Amino acid sequence: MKLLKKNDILVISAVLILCLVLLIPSFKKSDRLIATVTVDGVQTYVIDLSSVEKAYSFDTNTTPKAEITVEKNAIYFSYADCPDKLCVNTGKLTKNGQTAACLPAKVVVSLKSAKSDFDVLTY
Amino acid sequence: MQVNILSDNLFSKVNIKSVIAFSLCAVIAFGVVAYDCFFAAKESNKSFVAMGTVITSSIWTKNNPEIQQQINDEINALEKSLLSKNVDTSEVGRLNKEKSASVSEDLADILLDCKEVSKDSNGAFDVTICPVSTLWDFGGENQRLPSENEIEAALSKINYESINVKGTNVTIGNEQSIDLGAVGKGYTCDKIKALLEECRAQKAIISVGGSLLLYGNHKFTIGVANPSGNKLAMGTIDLKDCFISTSGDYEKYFEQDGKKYHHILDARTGYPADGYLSSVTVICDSGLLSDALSTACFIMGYNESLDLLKKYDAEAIFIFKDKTVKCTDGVADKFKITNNTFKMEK
Repeated sequence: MKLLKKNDILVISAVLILCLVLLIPSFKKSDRLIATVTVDGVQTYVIDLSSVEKAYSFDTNTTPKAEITVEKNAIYFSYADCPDKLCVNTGKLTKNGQTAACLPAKVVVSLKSAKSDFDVLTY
Repeated sequence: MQVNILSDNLFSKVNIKSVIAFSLCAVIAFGVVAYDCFFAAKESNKSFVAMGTVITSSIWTKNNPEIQQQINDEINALEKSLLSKNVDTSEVGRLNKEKSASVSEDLADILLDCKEVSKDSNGAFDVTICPVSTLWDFGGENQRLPSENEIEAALSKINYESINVKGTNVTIGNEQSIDLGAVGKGYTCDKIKALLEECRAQKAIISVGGSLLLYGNHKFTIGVANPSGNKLAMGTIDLKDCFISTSGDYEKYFEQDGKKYHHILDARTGYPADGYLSSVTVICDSGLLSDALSTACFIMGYNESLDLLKKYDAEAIFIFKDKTVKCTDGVADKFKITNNTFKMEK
C-alpha cells in the first residue's frame, strides 16, 4: 500500500510552493539603490535611484531652505541656505551607507542597498 | 480504505495515513509562513538630526515597534538634561555655572571615566577643555581662528585635576568648565544599548554621528571612512557586540590663509592636534571609552597610544596622512583594505 498517491503529492507540493512564494520577500535581497530623505526625523521621501530616468530636483520645505537633486543612481544637496554648506559640499551620494545632512534644516539623506561591502560606516 | 481523499472522491473511504501526512505538511508549512509573518524579528530604520549630528538606527526586534521613538526621545533628553554645555539647565550647564553641584550618577560616572582617560593620556585628552573649544567654536556660528593670547589665557583654565567627584557631589575649579563633546556620542551609544536590552531587541546597528553600537550576537561588516571625504569606505572589518568610534581631521574643520584647522584640539597646546594621522578608529566594549580613546589616540599619535589602548583592552586602526594603515594586534588580521591607494604596514 502506498502512503501517498500521485495527486496527493501534487497537492502537497502546491501547498509547499505557495508557502515558499510567500516567503520569497523575506529572503530576497534587492540590488536596488534606495535613498531615504528624512525631515526632522520624519521619513518624507523614499526614492529608488536605480529606476530614475530623468534628473529632477525638489525643495525640502524647511528653514533654512534646502534643495535635493535626484539622478540615476545618485542623490545630492544641490542648494542650501545654511551657513556652512557642508551638505552641499558632501557632493553626490552613490553608494550604500553614504549619508549627507543639512543639520540646521534637520534634513538627512541616506542610501541603502543590499548589495554592499559593508553595513554601516564609522567616520 | 484505499481511496484517496484529494484526488479520487472526497466522500469516499479515506486513507488515514494520507490525511495525517497531508495535515502535518500543511501545518508545518503554515507554521513557517506564520512565524515569518508574525513572530520573526522585523527590521526598522530611522534617521534624524540630534546632538548636532546625524543619528541612524537599524533595529531588528520582535515585539517593540516603539523602540525607534524611545531612542529618539532618549537622545533628546540626554542632550537637554545631561550632556549639553550650551543648555543652562542641563547637568553640565549647571555644573559649569555653579562649579559645585549634586548631579546624577550618570554624570558622576562620566566624569570619573573622563578624568581617568585624561590622566592616562597625560592631559592630551582633557574634559575641561571647554574654555579653548568655546574659543574655536567648530561648527558653530562663531567659528574662527583665535589669537595666540586668547589661546594662552584659555589654556590656563584647563585642568582635569580640578574635577572632584564624591558620590554624586561634584566640584570643579572656579575657572574650569566641562565640555563632553568628545565623549557625548559614545556615551549616547551606551545608553541606547541599555534600551535595546530592555526591549530584547535581536540585533541593531546604531550610528550617532559615526560612533557606532553593534548590538547582538550578529556579525556586522563595518566600513572605515576614507579620510579623503564623501563618506566612502577605505576598508572593512567584521565585528559584533561592541562599540566603535572614529576621530578624524576631515569631519569638522575650516580653512584660513591656506591652512586647515580641524576640530580635534590638543588640550596641552590649545590648537588642533598637529600630527601625522588622518584618523583613528577605536573598538572596545564601552561607547564612552571608545569615543574618549579615539580622541586621545588621535592627539597622542600611534606609538604613545599603544599602552593606553592596552590598559583599556581596546583595539585600534590608525590611518596616516601618507595613506599607510597600522592596526593593533587584535584587529590586524580582521581589517581588510578595500581601497588600493591605502597600504597596510605591520
